[in-house]
Amino acid sequence: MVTDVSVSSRTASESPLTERQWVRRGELLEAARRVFERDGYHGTTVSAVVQAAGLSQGAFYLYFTDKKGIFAALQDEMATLLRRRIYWVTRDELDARRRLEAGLRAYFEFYDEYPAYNRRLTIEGLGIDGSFEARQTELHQTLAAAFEPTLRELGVRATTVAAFALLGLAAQLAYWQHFQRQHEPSMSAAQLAHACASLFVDGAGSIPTPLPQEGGTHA
Amino acid sequence: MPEAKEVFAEIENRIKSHPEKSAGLNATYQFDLSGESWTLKIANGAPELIQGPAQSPNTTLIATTDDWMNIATGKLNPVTAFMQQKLKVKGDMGLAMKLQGLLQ
Repeated sequence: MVTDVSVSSRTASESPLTERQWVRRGELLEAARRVFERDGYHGTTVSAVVQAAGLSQGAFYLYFTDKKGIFAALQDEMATLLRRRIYWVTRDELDARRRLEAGLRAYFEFYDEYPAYNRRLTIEGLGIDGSFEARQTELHQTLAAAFEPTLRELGVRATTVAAFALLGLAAQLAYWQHFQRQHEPSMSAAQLAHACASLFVDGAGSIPTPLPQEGGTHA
Repeated sequence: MPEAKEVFAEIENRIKSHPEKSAGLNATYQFDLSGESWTLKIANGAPELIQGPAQSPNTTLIATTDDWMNIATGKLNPVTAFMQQKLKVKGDMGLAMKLQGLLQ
């Protein structure tokens, strides 16, 4: 419902943000995402962000210490969105195979919605500095832990290794789908999730061709 | 899509499972959705969920049920929702942000 302010430059002793300030902080975050997507982390400047937000340079520093601070806030916000999506689509699914596909589908839908942001994280996220890597590591650990019980139910024994491998597989598939695919037909999030789950649980030989349409049945 | 009741129950459980985050907090949140209201009362860190409006909420969050559910389940960015006026907040904004911190 609101954004996390834990990484902003404001201290606990400062008075709470007003509604107007809250909106401005949100505008800065939205603008920052667009500029980071367009220019990359290293190519982005605070000036470009405030210009994109239509605010003053001074306004920026009311909410964030620097470029690194706003990127960290954005990273937190996006990670929260992804975690929530996966949690809620898998929470009440009793069938482990369907739950696995539902979680993967939520991941691919998130990637579909924010492809440029995810690409930037893939390309630059781990090379920025340790704090960004730590945030990504925390996200991956959370997601892996979320998938582990499902994998256990599906008969996987080394669930931690398998869960991280699953995340890597999904990330590469999403990246390929959006940025590396050349002549192959486009695949929906549901198709990618189905292929990914089939490959992971049943082996590569089980991936159906042609892939089922969206909402297709399980292998 | 879960029901609003499940989402609020989850919020209550999440606060209970991380008592250190809400320690000492006293706040009454009212959620006004489409045709229904929910109250989350936190007394000295302990949450209590009540179906219906509060007598004197510190913070009221207003959204359609659909928008609220999309925010709660990660399908709608809360910042975007707020800027598009799909989510409105009345009262103490600081407490609204505190709530977000509790749910991270």
